[in-house]
Amino acid sequence: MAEFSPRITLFCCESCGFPAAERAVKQGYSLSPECRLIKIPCTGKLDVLYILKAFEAGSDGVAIAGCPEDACRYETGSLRAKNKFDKTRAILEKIGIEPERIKRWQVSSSMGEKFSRLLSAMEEELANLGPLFPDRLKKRGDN
Amino acid sequence: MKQANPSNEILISGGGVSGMRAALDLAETGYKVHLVEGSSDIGGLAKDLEKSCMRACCASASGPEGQGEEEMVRNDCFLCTLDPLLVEVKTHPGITVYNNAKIESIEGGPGAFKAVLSSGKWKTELETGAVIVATGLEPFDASLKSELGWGRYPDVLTSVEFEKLLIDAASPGGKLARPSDGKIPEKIAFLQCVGSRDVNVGASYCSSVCCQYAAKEAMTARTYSPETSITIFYIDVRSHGKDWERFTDRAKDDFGIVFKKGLPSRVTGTPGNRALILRYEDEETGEYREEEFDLVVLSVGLVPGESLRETAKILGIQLTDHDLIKVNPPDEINTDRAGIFAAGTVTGPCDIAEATARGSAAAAAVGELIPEGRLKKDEKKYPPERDITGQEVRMGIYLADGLPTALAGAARNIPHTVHVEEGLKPGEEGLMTLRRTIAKEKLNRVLIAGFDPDMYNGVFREALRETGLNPYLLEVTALSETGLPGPVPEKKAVEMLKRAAARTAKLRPLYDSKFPVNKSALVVGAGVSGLNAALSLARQGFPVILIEKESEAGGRLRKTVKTSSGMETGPYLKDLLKQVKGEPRITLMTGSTLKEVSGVVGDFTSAVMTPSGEQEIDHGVLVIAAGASEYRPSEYMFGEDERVITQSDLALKMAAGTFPKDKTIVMIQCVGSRSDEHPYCSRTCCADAVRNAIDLKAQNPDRHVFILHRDIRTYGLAEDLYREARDAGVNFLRFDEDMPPGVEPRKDSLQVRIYDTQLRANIAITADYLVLSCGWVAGKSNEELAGTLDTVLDEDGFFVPAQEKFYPQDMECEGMFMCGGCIYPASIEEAVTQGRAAAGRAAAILAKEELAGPPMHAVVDPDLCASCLSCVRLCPYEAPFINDEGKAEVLALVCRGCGICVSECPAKALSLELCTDEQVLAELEVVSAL
Repeated sequence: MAEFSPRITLFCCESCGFPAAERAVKQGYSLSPECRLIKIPCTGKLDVLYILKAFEAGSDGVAIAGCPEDACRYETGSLRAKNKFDKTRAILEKIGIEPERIKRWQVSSSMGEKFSRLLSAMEEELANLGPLFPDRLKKRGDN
Repeated sequence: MKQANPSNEILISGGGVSGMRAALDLAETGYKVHLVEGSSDIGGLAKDLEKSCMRACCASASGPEGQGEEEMVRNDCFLCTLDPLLVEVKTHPGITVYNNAKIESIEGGPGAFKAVLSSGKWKTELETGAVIVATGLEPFDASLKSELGWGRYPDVLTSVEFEKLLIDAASPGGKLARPSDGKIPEKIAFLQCVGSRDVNVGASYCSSVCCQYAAKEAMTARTYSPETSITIFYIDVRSHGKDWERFTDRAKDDFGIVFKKGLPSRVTGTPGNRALILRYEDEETGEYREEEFDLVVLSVGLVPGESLRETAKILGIQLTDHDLIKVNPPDEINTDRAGIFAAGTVTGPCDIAEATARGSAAAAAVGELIPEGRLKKDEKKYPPERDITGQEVRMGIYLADGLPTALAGAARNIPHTVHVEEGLKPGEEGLMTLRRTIAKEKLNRVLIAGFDPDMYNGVFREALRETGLNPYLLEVTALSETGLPGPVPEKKAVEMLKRAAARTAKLRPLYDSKFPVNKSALVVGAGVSGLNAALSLARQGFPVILIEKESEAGGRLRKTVKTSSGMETGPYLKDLLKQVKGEPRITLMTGSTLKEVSGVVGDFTSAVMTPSGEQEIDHGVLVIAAGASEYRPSEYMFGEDERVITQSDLALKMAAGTFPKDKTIVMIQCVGSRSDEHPYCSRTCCADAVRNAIDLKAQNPDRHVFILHRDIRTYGLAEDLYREARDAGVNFLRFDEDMPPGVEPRKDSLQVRIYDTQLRANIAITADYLVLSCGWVAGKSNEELAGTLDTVLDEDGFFVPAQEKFYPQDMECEGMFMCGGCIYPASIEEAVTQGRAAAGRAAAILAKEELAGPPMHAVVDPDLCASCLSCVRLCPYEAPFINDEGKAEVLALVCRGCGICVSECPAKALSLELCTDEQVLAELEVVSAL
């Protein structure tokens, strides 16, 4: 199998995560076609169900990109996201999925470079972990 | 002088960028606007220079290697910047546009003019309270410089013609082809200053924009034809605007465009138009060279047309020696006839952002003249809203012009799709198609792909309302993951379309919540722009609180002697402060800083730290005018040797009469500008240096004055000063960035050494004084304010406008505006105009009785609510409460739409409009199928 490009779903908040991604792209970062950004107003809006659905949708990893905890646009939103993140990790562990497949990033809107660095590192880590659904890879035409 | 019952109808002549901006600001403020346009359509020069935008979406921003894949979706920026503005003007109920028309005569005075308008077919008379002239300048007629071969050789084009060639190259299947034989040009030459900086023909001033548009056109050309090599021949590279220096650097470094100093004096052809020969002096060797090119582009300047002279005559206003409309500096708006204002390039060449600012400032000037003329806006009549309850989803998918047809095929297979429209154009024509098909196909969901949602949501929502469809049954997608316009590979575009469609199908009708506007302003910074903003707002009838961190108002006006155009700043400031003190609507608070801002447009609450403690202020709009700081040099022994001083020191010494008359002066430009640390041009230093040099020479014509520079950037009308200085015998020597001048202190002199790139020689000057032209750096206050306002600054620490070209005074957050040096270095004249422009923009909000809040807030389904109090406890803003029925309810105006309560509600009784669980899950469902 050729180098597999991991499918990553990124839940990005409107105030920080999404603008950071935008900035990364403006700075020349090229987003892999298997990376998908889902824009939500605040990562505090995130539902555990969203994350599990994202895995069900064939994601090899899920990232939550929100504001820094102490500078969240909606004050406690980023902190609420941490809650959901911890809960989801616990569920993943229980059902036998590596908890490393989910990441939580705190980026401010100007951190385009940090965003691209974190995403590249995640892609590399997931490439080492291998696909979550090997049988679905073929369908994706990724090999 | 002004009439008792002034007319609230305003006449604007000229439908270019400036006239359109003035029209919109006035119409939003409640005036009835008559916009008279001489040609067959509004849009002005910007229509022809559509690709001049420098946003990331511009094809040229991605670099030549970023293109090439044939299946790429092209989405060039020229679609996205001007068109929404054109549509807004044409559809605004307060604006009447008269195409192919002109003002025939005008009588009366401010508040009560009588104007006669006419076209070939009709004539009409109307009463108007004020007139704004914004008829603009015209591209120079290149045939007047016959030695450059335009009109004789088919491959000599003006920059305006070349722009059209580029638009053809950008269209699907298009390529960059030269007119004579359709061949892709291997070598292109740009000739700058055609009809500019020329005392014999065209304009003697600098047209200000040509260096920038030439770099942009060259980059765009390289994008479409990477094999083409491009040389730009210039006198000085003038990239004096925000981000222009970097743009020019990118043209050189990333696009390999060659900049050659010196202008070829003539263009000759070869038999059969095979090539064009340019003869020029090579700066490096000093030898004359002949070089062949396939295509020559003449960067034509902006000059006043015959129509401007005619207009001035009809309106009874004076022109300057340049045949431009005469204004009284530092004012750029008021003509010498009361009630008649000028906007845009008619008072001097400027770029689009400045033209926009002048338009807003002219609107403010009208508001100051007749504040009582504002009417409550005519409520636009809409058809009753169509009830779609219980209806099956009938979705229409609209694809932007230029998207590949494969997308249409994919669109047809998307569930619920009953109509697919290809080739949607962004202007009025596209909107007509949209309205017609929505009605005909009884659509109840609309998806529009290939447009920037930030720019187009408003326009398209309006179109939905006009057909009786709830405006929130719409989704606009740019088809890229990040929402940035630009090329998207086809496979991704199809996926994005499907994902957007999944969200669209789940949309529900929504309604804005209305709230009253607090009709007062808070202005931060009492420098030249802040003072002018406050004065303008107060004269338009709005209370203003003006805060200044220093103990005295005035900002840089307190430290300068005169503007480069020669106006003394001391008396000007004194007068300005007197006006502010005499204006009962302004409260000036010195020694005060902004600590916190909360709330939304129309209803902000700020905490201001004053010398007597913290104070809470309620206001409807915020204007930031925080200024910039002068760079304090560490180079050239500044601070070590007292013979090394700054330009402002010199001006102060001369004004005080303490500066010796017989000394030799050397000035060095770009100290703290265009450097690694501050890689931008500080815009004002060249004109200031030249002004001081002229004054030194006037004191004593026999003394020696040298200006050492990298390019002389006396843009616009300041070019006159440059000529005056040379005529007065000021010596200009040019050095290279890599070889800055050296200074050696002697006991009774300073030895300045420079390698002059024009003479190609080392020169030593024995000077008595060394004067450093120090640039502007972003004030420390910018950083603090950015933190307070939760906004981002650019790389140089300056504020960033919401949109550089058409909203230069708007901040990202609605209801917040900015002006002056905190955005980018600006001359005093420019700061005055920007201050007034910010006031014009702000007044458009303050004049309204109520504003509509977006419907993105949480709603409770009472049947599901178990009154567990989760939402009440977790909301950061105390928006939810338990109502009389014992169920949770969310206060729509308090709710900020974060959705925290929604995700925490154990009963799933809450949902967040425009980002519902159904929408997110439906989108993930689409991904699942990929």
